[in-house]
Amino acid sequence: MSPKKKSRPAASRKPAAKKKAAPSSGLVFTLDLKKSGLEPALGAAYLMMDRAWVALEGDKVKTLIVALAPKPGVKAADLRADFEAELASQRLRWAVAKANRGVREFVAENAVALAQQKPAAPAAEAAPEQLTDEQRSEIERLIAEVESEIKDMNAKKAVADPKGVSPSWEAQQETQKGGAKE
Amino acid sequence: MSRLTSLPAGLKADPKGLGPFNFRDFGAWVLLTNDWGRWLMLDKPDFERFLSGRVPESDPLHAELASRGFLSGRLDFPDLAASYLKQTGFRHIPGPSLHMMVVTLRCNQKCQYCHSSVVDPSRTDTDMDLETAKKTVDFIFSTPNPSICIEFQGGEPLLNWPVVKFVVKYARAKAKAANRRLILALVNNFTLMTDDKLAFLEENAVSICTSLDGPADLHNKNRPFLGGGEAQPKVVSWLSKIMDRAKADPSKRHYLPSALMTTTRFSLPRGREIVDLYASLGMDQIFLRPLSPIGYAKRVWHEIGYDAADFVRFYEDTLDYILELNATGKGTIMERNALILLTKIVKGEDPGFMDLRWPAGAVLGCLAYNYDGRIFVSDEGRMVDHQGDPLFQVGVVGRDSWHEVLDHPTARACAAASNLETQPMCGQCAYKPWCGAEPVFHYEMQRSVAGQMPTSPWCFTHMGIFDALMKRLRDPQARRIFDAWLVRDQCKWQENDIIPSDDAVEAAS
Repeated sequence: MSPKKKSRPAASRKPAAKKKAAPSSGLVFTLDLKKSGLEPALGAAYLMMDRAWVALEGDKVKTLIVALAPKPGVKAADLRADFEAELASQRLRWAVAKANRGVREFVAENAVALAQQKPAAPAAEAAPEQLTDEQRSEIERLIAEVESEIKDMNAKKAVADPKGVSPSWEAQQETQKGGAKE
Repeated sequence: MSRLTSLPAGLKADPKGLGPFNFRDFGAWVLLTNDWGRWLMLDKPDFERFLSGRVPESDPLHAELASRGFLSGRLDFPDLAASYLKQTGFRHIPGPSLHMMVVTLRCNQKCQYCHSSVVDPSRTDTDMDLETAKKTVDFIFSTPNPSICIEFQGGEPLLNWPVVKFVVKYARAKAKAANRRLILALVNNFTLMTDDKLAFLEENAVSICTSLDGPADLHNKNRPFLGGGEAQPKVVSWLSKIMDRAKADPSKRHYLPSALMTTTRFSLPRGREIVDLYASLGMDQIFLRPLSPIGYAKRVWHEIGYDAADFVRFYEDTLDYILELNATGKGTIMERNALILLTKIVKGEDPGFMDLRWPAGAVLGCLAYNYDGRIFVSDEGRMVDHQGDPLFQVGVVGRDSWHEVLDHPTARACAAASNLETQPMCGQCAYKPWCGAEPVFHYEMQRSVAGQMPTSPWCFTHMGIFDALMKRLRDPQARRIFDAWLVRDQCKWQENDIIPSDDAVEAAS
């Protein structure tokens, strides 16, 4: 057993054993989560996904092992700097978000309260019974008319196709191809 | 470069005293935004002073930052709550407003990118029958939103005209009985339009929308007619005819047709020609829409698709041309994406656009009804079903109640997945107040309703459009044009006073 392996703590040995091999063009580094914070680190890793394949391991409390493999057209050498820039922005974005969470919730609650002061929507569902006799007879007449029209339409389709829409696309293509060959 | 953009290197920030904000670095300047839709463009040195807490109270910038909610000790809570409510009011309206009825899957066109998963005109078995149509309208009126918009889609809805007519009349009667506001819209390709049908649509205040992809060769290539022949001249002819009727009769001004343009790979070099055609037809707006890899478009993406970056370049170039026409007095045409986003950004209002809101429009804002009565979270969800995956079905008319649909696991998953607060990148994006995530798109592209935003073409495209508008908002001439557009804009279709009331419709008919 090598001295290096012997000195490694159990908590970090386990993930290292599971770790997938990083592609030869990629890079692997370890983040100290006490310095960077978990959410900013995860946020930065997520944002790297347009440039790299990202794999994360670690105990999520003290350390996060980040493996980045560049996507086509991306230089591997740029990835570390890109990640650091994302991480710096993420730290600020998360700090601002956490500091203002109560304010945002308060304004949202006020907006909901304001919305509830507005008049309620009218009762829904006009049941058929609510229609007047005149409307009901008009609808019955309409249904009969439409049924008759559909019947006529289907009957006409059987004998005529004035707009030439009945042949299928495939049939038309076959006809055209046949014509061209001749 | 970071999709969200990063802090300047070596910057010392002090979060103490800073209100909640997200930022986006544009190089010489930085955009600040907050949850409440307030925003500010700061020159880089001012941004650095803001972050490090070095803006004294005597500095005019201090008052500017405070008035927009960027300083935690100077927050005007009632004002910010009102602003927040104004731009997210849709979250407090119960139930969907947009109901898309697919009255048939049949179509007489075979569009390259067809999102709608159509079938051959001979397949009358995919027509919605009368009983299903009635049950669908009954279900729509069981949802609680006081405003209802029924949009006829297909396939080509005019191939099932009797059912369209029935739904129009039946829905009007129900709306009157229940005192509900009703808007009716027909999306059609104009190839089967007749004078009689147009008269019926006008009499019943059904607004008309069509597709127009550009000059004839481009349109016909994108949207070939079954059996050959040119589709574009028919579209242009009917658009012109309806525009002329509207000009001749002010009472028909309300029914000015609109057109949608879908951008394929073939459209990318032809933005100017497309705009010129729309302008020559007297169209008020053009909607430069990206292609979605859903339905048939997914299968032929390698032939007609493109990278999101290609679309963003096309959008910027074409938007600049439109601004140039406006600036030089050669035209007054407006761009619809810009109108939708500027309504949110500049006016702080919600324009009712389902694709850019959170939680997503799916079920909460819209529903799609298949010809067979099955209910889907959106029309895109219905198309996924047509490809063999029923994930986005949330009910069946006549069987399930509105509450069962709302409580469906898929409805809840779509709402949760599209909440930008819980999306790791979106929650920190400067465009969060105005953007949205689309569960069906991300399911199709990334096999996840939540999606993976750093690699999402949806995100890249919309971020690119937002960037383009923000850059132009700094240009005084472009800003003047945008402000004028907002005055003219009619994109608040849901609450638009120019849409006639039911009484006016009755009087007209």
